[in-house]
Amino acid sequence: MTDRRRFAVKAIVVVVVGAVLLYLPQQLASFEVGNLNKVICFAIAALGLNLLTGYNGQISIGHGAFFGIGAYTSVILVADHGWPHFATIAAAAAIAFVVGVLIGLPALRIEGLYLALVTLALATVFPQLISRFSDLTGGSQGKNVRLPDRFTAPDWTGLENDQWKYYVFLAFAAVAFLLVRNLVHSRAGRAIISIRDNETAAETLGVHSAAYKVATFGVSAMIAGIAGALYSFETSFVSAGEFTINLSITFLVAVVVGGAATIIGPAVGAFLVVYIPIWLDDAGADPQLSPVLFGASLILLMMAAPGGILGLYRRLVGWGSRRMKKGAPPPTQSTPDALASVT
Amino acid sequence: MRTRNRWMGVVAISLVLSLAAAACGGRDDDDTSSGGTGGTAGDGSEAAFSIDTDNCSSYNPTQGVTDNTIKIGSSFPQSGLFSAFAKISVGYAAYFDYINDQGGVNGRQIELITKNDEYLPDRTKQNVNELVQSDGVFALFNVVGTPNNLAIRDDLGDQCIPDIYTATGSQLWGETEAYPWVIGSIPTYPTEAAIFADWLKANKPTAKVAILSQNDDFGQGYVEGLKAAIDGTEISIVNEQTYNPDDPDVKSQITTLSSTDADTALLATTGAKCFQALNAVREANWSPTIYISGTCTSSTIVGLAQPGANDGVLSSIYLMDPADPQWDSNAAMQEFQTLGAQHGIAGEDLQNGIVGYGWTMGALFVETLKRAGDITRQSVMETAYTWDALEVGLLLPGITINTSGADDPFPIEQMQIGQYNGQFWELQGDIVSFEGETSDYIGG
Amino acid sequence: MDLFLDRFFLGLQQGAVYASVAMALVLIYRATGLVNFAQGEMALFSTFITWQLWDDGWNIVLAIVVSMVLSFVGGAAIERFLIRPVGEVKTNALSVVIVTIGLLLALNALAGWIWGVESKTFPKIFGTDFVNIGPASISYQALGVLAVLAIEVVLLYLLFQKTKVGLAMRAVTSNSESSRLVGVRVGRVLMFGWGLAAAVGALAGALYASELATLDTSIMLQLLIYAFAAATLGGFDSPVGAVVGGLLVGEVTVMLGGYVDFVGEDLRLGAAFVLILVVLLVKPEGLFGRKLVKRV
Repeated sequence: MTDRRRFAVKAIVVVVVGAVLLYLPQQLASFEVGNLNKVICFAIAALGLNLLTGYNGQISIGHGAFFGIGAYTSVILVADHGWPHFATIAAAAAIAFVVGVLIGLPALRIEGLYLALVTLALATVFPQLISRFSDLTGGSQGKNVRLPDRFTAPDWTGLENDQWKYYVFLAFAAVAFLLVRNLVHSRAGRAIISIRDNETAAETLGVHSAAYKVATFGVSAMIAGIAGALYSFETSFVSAGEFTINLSITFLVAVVVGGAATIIGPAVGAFLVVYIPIWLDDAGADPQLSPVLFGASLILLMMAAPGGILGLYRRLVGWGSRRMKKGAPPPTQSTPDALASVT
Repeated sequence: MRTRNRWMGVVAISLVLSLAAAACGGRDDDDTSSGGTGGTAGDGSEAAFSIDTDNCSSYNPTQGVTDNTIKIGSSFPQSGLFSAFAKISVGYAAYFDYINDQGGVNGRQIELITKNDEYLPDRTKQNVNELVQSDGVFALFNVVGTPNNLAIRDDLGDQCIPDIYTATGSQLWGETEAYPWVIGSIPTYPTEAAIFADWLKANKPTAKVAILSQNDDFGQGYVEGLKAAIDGTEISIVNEQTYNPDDPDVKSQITTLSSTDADTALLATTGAKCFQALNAVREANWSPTIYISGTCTSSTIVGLAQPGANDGVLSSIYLMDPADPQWDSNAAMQEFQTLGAQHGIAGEDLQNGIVGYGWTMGALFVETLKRAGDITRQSVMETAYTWDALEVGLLLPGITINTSGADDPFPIEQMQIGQYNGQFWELQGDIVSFEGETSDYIGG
Repeated sequence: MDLFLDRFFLGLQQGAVYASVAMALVLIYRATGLVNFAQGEMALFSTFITWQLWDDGWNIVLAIVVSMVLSFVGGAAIERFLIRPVGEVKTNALSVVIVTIGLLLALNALAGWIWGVESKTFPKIFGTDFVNIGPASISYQALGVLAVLAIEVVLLYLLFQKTKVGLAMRAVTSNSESSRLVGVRVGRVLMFGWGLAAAVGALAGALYASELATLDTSIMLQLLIYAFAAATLGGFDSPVGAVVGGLLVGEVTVMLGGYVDFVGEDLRLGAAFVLILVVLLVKPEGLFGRKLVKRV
């Protein structure tokens, strides 16, 4: 296929998918749109995590905490201080970025495996912090955003609330994915990826790995924080029990299942991670049995297709070699060797 | 196809309904219902209380009701450290099965859909959304957990959907002006604390109390209730500790409490924490007088404590304990045992007080449906606010259900101190009544 | 003073359980170089087997022993059929992490499916009596757990230092390629490592359930986090480190939680992690770990 032909195909696919996405909320019931909204928020969070873990090789099992920071920032500002909703997204992004950098700095000294554990620690401590400061956060009982303060559709749009949220979230997601894609294909992106593949070599080639690693941590956390703020618009409720390690694991699974180090992998992964439990439930599967199947399929997936769904797709389409020739960053089949330092 | 026109339709319907409601004025008397076990309805009284449906965002009076079914939903922990509460549904599912076998309520079968929320309020919220939007239930029934009901009362209130007979004793369900669509069931936690305080005044007037409480409104209800009730007496609180629902155990809190000079302990705990706390007290080689939350009285909760750890523990009792032989010849208890066994309750569950509570709630709900006349969300809720001396289910003889709109939105307000002897709860003293006064005890 | 002693003993008691699970983590790390996120749930599954045997009338100690043997087989099988096919840890770290996470989810749900999700009573292995030490008292349960831990450490030390199997394990950890060249059956050693870790985990799970006197599917996840903290503090490749780390984490969390109001009960684990973070910044390989040399 010629380049122009391939571009045309791509363009058509994008347009069709885009049209379907825009049309969906008109057709689906309100709580189904709510599910899609959850997928979009998770997709954005997974995008952020993918930047750090997939492209930069720093495994994080703590992104649930950044997501939670964003969600709580937004709810507290809206419910207690009457902030306008979009402004809270900016605040959530800023705070998450700062925390991300604060974690990223000591992370420089801690290699791969231990870093994963430190992020796990962060994910564990977060709900405890929520409980500790329950006056501010509502603790395990949670904090509700009262009806008048909720994120509702403005009258001029003629939309219902869930549809409005859908389009807003979709807009944020589109922008986020586009920006990350551009980042990855830029010089900075190549530097980030080179640090993952061989940090020492990258250093000798003049890449300031420390600066990049910390910055990537911050940006990755910021993206997750934004996703969290958006999610709080969807649920209008936060409580400690939502932001546990399970959430961080969910994000990591979404990244890997979709395909680490790919752009749309996180979106695919987020969709599956949200919908597979729903499908299993609707199919009447014993609620105890569905996590067994889910866990088992994760294991099988890693054996058969460690590059995730997208990796599988690319292998099938023979994408790899062609992209290699074009000199773009190779889609990695195997995943970051973050533990290379361990002998 | 969803368009703006749908909104116009809904607005039109609500206007018509509210006009109709206004035109109809008070409710008619209904004949006292027969059938149902051990339940006698009070004489029908006019509704001095009516619920406004004008402010509903979208009032759908008969969603979930067809000519032959009424669909209701519930959300409660079916796994994890609070899964003992799932036994409640065994009780009311059996009662509904019995009623359905008899032809249902006025010809309508009761269809029950339940979901697991693992005591997590955000899951409760999700479950309720699904139950309302996907399953289209008529009402939420007996949802477990104070934080869980707090998470859903705004949305349900907004949509004018009943959150009826919640399985929690928080005094917050008395905020009838703001939340008329939520009504509780069991005695409130502050009144429990008050009855314990009364017992202390009579039996241990200089008690030094240590408190372990859950870090939310559930626990706070007991703490503040006790503090108010002992005001001006010689009873003092020497130490307070809290725990979070998802903590694996409470050993270190009990270690701290046991090292004080407290000779009395209030355990405002629920679920697995009940017996974990009792075990920890015993292991700390500490022997205070213990009062434990009324939510712990099930044999599958307090009974799981180590041998000896639950002996002599006090709590509040308002239902007949199936394991107590003195009720063996009581008519209501016999009906529970026979009908329960016929409709799906296993042998050991028939001895479990928490299943008995579920049975009683099932009976109460069926009575509510029967007395409501035309089944609409509004009429059912209003019925729940107008009980007069109703005996139902396994309520202790002498205890009845009484409500009266915003003045008395609490169904059960009478109870008695019980002491656990390792097998069942031995009743002590007399029935204490807080009828109509619950709101005085630390209003929400 | 007696509050202090009470807390001190509580810290030891809880720390001993963290140490036992940390030991299992360390064993797997030493054998295969990976962090096993499924360790807690493997222990949970084993503990359910123990419970089932006890519920059927077996003596509890016998039940634990049998469960340990079964877990050994299970652990070895997991390594052979689920972990090894995914590839080398060095090149496929993320995949291996996901596999252990998948195992975590599957085992937890499987246990709930087989045995139900309601809490079960678990017997107190060492009874409920005490020994009085001055004004404080320490339960036989606590003493028992500490004794078991001590025995474990001694046995493992002997294994690693005095037996051929232990030597083989050390060789494989240090350089698997060279070990293969001199005839060490690397695959067998890996399986042995996992099996041993699973057995140790089974014991740890039973001790923990015995302490809580209750068993249900939710108890292991938090415990796993404490065990991670212990192993991180002590150094992931040091069994001695696991023990010291475990006891330290136990003490720190109880003491900080009791005496420092800001920490209170909520931030106990958080405080422990801050401590560990500080240690790692100074000594990235943990207190007893070997220094890592990165080869370019």
